[in-house]
Amino acid sequence: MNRPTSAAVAALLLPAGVASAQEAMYTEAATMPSPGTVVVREQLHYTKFGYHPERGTRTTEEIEWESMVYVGVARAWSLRLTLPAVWRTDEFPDSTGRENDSDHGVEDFDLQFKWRVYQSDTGGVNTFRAALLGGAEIASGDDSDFSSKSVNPYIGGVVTKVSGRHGFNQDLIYQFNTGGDKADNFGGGGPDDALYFNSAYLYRIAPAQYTADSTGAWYVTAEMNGLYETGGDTELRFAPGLMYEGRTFGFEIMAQLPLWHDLDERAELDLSIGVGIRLLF
Amino acid sequence: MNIVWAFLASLSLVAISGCAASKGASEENAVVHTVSAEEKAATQSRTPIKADSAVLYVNGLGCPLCATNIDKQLLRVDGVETATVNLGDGTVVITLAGKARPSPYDLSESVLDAGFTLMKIETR
Repeated sequence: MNRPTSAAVAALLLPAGVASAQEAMYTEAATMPSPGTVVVREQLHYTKFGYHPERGTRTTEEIEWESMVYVGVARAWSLRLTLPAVWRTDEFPDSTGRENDSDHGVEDFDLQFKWRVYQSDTGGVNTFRAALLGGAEIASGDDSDFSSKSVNPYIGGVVTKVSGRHGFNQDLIYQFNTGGDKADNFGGGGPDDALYFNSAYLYRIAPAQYTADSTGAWYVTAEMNGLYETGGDTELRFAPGLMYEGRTFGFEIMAQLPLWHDLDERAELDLSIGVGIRLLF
Repeated sequence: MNIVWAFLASLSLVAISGCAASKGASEENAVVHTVSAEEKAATQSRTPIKADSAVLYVNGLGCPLCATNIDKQLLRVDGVETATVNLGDGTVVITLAGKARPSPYDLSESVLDAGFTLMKIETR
């Protein structure tokens, strides 16, 4: 998913209006590509975690490259495939005498369908939409610690409202985890089920008003990314971002900061930053 | 209780964005296509359009990517030669050519496929 699976922040987005219009970085949107339209979204994240009680690490640094492809398959229906590649470095406490350990691999794939079940376009720009989400994180086959070696289905929903320069997205997704290891869990990828709840606010900073010549728009975004695992671990992150959206491409800069957490079984987030692009075909 | 607290905190963005949106509503809600019942009904006509161009009044065009989405869909309709989106006034100007001409219904369906709502068509 576009949320932290085993490392922390992955996201999926772009598909704006089209596959990603009005979609922030870590929160889903009830927008999608039209039939026959393809959107490719690439995101590169650097994430640093603190002490991991199950892993025994003092810090963990990750670089994650997520490739996402969105395809409009029919009116109000779209599919998204996410392929995450990860490079990870563990640093252990001095008292353990262990040296740093680096590894790389492919995390679980994510195949998601989106079905827009409600749409009310109330003005030239304004709209309110709701969509159901479903899919699964599927074992990548990676023989290292990056794959859960299981299939983890999820279901959820998202609403999107756009009013003038303001956009809002709220999603809620429950994932049934059938595998996973606590030591490899950096958020939602362990043996406990996971509930994701994300809110995103987007503000179009330019242009203030669209004109006949408008071919692009700049947005600032603010997100609250929540994750509850049935083992009790709960976390809330704040994610500011900047996004440009043109007619056939977009790019985004994002960060994710810890806001509040109650974690006993996995590492706390120190910081995550990332960049991304979106291409529409 | 942690989950409840965290979820409510997450929802605080709803309140913030709701307030912001209401403050800016007068400024940005300027583009509202007011159409009569007859004009709306006319978008479902199955009679091919004989004119060489038409203006489509579309709701929900919230972003530049949306614009590309809608013109890609309209250009797939037989008879539509060009499609030019104006995000400023929420319109799409299309030019028509060839023997096979689309009906307003065809255009309406195409706009729906793109994820938007056709409110009115004016032929030229």
